[in-house]
Amino acid sequence: MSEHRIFVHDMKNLLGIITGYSALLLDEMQGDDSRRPDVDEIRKAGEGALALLEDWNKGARGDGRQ
Amino acid sequence: MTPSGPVLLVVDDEPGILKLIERFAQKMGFEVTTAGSGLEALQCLKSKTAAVALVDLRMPEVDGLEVLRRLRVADPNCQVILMTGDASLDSAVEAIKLGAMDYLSKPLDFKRLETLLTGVRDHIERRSALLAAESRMVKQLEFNGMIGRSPGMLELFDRIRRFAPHVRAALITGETGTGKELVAKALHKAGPRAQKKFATINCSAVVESLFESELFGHVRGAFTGAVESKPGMFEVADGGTLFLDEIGELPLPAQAKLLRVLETGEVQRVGSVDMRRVDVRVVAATNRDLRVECANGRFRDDLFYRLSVVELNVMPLRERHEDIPYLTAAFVRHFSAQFGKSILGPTPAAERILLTAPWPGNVRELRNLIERICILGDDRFFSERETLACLTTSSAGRAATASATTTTSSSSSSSSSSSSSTTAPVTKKPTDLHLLADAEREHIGKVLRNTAGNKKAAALLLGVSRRALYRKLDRLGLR
Repeated sequence: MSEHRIFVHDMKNLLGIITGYSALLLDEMQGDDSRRPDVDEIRKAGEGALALLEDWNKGARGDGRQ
Repeated sequence: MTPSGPVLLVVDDEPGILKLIERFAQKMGFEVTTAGSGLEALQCLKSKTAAVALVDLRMPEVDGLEVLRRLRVADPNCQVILMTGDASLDSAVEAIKLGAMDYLSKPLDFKRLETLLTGVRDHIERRSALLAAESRMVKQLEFNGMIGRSPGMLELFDRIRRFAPHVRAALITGETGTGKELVAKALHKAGPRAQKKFATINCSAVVESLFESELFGHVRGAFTGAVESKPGMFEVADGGTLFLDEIGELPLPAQAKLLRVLETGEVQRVGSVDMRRVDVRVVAATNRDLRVECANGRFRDDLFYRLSVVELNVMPLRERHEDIPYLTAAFVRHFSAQFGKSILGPTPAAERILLTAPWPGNVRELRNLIERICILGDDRFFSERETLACLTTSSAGRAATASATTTTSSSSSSSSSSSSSTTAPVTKKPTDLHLLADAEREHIGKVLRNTAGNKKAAALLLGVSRRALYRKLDRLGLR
């Protein structure tokens, strides 16, 4: 596997942990828990980072870059 | 009885992912085992069976596809879900071809994973519920230690109930292992003599010269070695039932004396002149066709007619498949408790094998098979593989492996009695007319197809070493 792909793979794993745990926490929290918005921010940021990574990955492949 | 929850094995080289999935699946009621590498996963599976495995595709040394491949051989009942952060069509196609249940891309869609795991869990719960229901049904279907709901068995139970109060002598016929002794005991228990003695004598186990003494007793000094007076089985069973198992083995002179006792109700100990009155119900059993034995002069007609006033025939197991699930449930419950296991019953594939096996040893053979499986097994369901492995050591094994590949046919009580006609109507020639080498080639081929060509697994199923299998393959031109 190229270094590029290893990087994407490992990044996805780590971001998956961030989004996965925030989803778990949201699931376990009461609906009126005051910390919900905070956790939701973490989840959104994680998902944003995943989307970015996906775009960057496509771009990197398309441009023929390393 | 039931273990805590179905086991999920998670295999990933990223510890964070392992923990995350563990948390998630525990919430769903799974018992989670984690492995940090493919090698560790394979080690885990040696001591534990999983209902479902979630395996990362990309791992150093042993990758996900290899884990999948080995799991399919080691435990075909374990569902495998592959996951990868680097999805490619090739690996997905390969995974599905190898029998993976699904292929998930990372980051995991937990909704989808939840659906998949719920499916697995529901399937297990449905199966457990079904087997538990069968186990409960057993109580209602039991009649004096016999279990049956097939028309033939219900008729037999009904006849026993009707005959039991009145019968003086009865003949029970049926193949070996069908439970003739249970029928005899049922006749005893359902009748007015239930509280009296039930004595058994196996005619094939008695030395010919001692028959008379065994049946009628002897007085001191009647023959060399007769140092004490001894009552015979007729006196022992006085007031109760005497069960003469394998009556077809009784020598002709003893048959004549037995007939006399049946007619007069009196016995005479060997060497004595006194007659003693006995009140004994005689139930005889045989797996031979006594009509043929009579025609050949090996059995007395008059004794046969005397005994066959009431003739009860016990069906072979292959003619009452509908009873197999309940018999299985009863034996599983018994042996599982005896060996301290929490085995609930067969997987659907294992049940198909049980239903289609020819069972030359009948219920006794099924009972022995379940006992072996319960000794060896630990999981809540026993698999096709465990069943075949235990079956191949028994006489039914060969034919069962062959019929396991054909589809289950529904039972038809009106059709002919041979099992080959119900399971494989296409084959005209009975297989025992094949050359041995042909049969071997065919059977090895079938086992290899079942193991997807894996020789080690095939050798295990066949009960030979891998080297022996290779030698056979060379000799039979299968390589």
